[in-house]
Amino acid sequence: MNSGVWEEVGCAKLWNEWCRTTDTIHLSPTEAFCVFYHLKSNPSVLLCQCSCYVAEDQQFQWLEKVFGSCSRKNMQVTVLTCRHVTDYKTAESTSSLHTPFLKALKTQNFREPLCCSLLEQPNIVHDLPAAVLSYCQVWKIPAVLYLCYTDVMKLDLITVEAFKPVLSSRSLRGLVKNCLAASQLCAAKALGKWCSRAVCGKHAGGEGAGRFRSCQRYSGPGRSGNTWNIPQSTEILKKLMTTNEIQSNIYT
Amino acid sequence: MFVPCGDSAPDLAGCTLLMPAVSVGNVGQLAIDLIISTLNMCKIGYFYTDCLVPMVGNNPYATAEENSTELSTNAEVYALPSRKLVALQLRSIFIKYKSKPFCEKLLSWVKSSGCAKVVVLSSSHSYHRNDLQLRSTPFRYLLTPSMQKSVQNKMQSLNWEEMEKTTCIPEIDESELCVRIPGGGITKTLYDEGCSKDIPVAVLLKFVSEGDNIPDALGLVEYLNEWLQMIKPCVQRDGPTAAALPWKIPSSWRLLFGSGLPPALF
Repeated sequence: MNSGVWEEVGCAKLWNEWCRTTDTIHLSPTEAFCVFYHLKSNPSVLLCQCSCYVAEDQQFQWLEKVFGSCSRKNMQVTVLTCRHVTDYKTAESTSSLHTPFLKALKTQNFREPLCCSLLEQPNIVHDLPAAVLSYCQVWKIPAVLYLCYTDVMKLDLITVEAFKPVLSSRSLRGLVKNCLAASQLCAAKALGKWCSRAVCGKHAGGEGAGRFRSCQRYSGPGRSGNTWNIPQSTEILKKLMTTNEIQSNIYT
Repeated sequence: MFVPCGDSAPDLAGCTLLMPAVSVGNVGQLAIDLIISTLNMCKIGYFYTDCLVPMVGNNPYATAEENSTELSTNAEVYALPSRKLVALQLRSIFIKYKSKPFCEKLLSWVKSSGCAKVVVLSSSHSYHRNDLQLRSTPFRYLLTPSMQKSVQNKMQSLNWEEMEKTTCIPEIDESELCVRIPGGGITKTLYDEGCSKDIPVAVLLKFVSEGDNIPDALGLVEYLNEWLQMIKPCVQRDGPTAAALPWKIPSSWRLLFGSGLPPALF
């Protein structure tokens, strides 16, 4: 999001037992948990920043509301999310794996080359990313999910850097001006069930016009050349980490 | 609810629909996996529904690099047109309060698509058996009235045991007798809906406990095969040992009990 000017165009509010923010913690805009932005220079490019857990009995309705309001024609969807490496099933012990690492799942109509290897059987994906991908597979929308398996419970730059290959993909590189700087700044968000970025956009043809990735919100002008203002990155990172801590145990 | 893979809806008139109930040990689902994998059935559509928890993964029946990249969702329909067989596989649990609406939607789709009969593969808690059931075969069947007319004789010739009725309230002997399937998930609901809507439904179940339920699934598909004759045994050249049925274990059954263990554990 630091690579362009993004304008907020909507939000999806929901509540479930996992939403435990206090009044002093505000995810802008106030009380909205899934915020939608579009790129000002190309409004057909949409980004959704999902900072809460969408419960299993809310996922279907969330999809119908979000996807129901856009035309499926020429749409392409990219989803970025994280899971703990202990969720990953492999013949070797998970402690011997080099984390973080990226895996992908794609729908039948997705034709672009992938940035990493496919998620092998018998691994599966749950929650909102699975709901989004199921919707896209059933309704024949090209979509890809990039899933980062990491061994930490708190957001860190090493996990975020694992998404670097995605930034250089054919669809996203047109949206990210400086890949190196962007990956350092980007809080591609944390772990487990309570945060996944759903990123969707209409593919208006041409490189980079279809998709984008989610980063922290850019605010304020004044970017020159390759130097980046970091007006809110640290602040937003702190907010996301606090939200993660609050939501990590529904019994506290 | 049913969304075809291709552009047009497939013709399911006269087909037999095989489906699992999400039940104890997931035996029905494992059995359907075996059937789809062995008969090499191809996917013809999805059930897109708000009743099941969403999940996705790559093709669970992959046999080679080429066919391992197809995405699979939580409810898919496969077919073998040459044998007029259709299989619905359910891969996740029901969302709270949505199991009955699912059964209603499913059976109305069955009726509208013209399926000849529905066979539900299921299981029930083995610890709920009474003395008589403990001493007999662990397999049972149940038929709705519209199914009984056509199939009851076949069941009797196979010497199959019908699911016994037990007291509706287990502790009270004077209460009415009814069919109870503890641990059977939507089995009873499907059976009751089938009875009331006059749909030919057969339930085949096994009494099982949780654990490694692969042998239970193999037992259940062989039980089904006695009736439907889906596959024939392969002839063994060496000696008079009973010919085994060549069921194909799907590739996704790997690591059923988790990842490899860290060597430092020992």
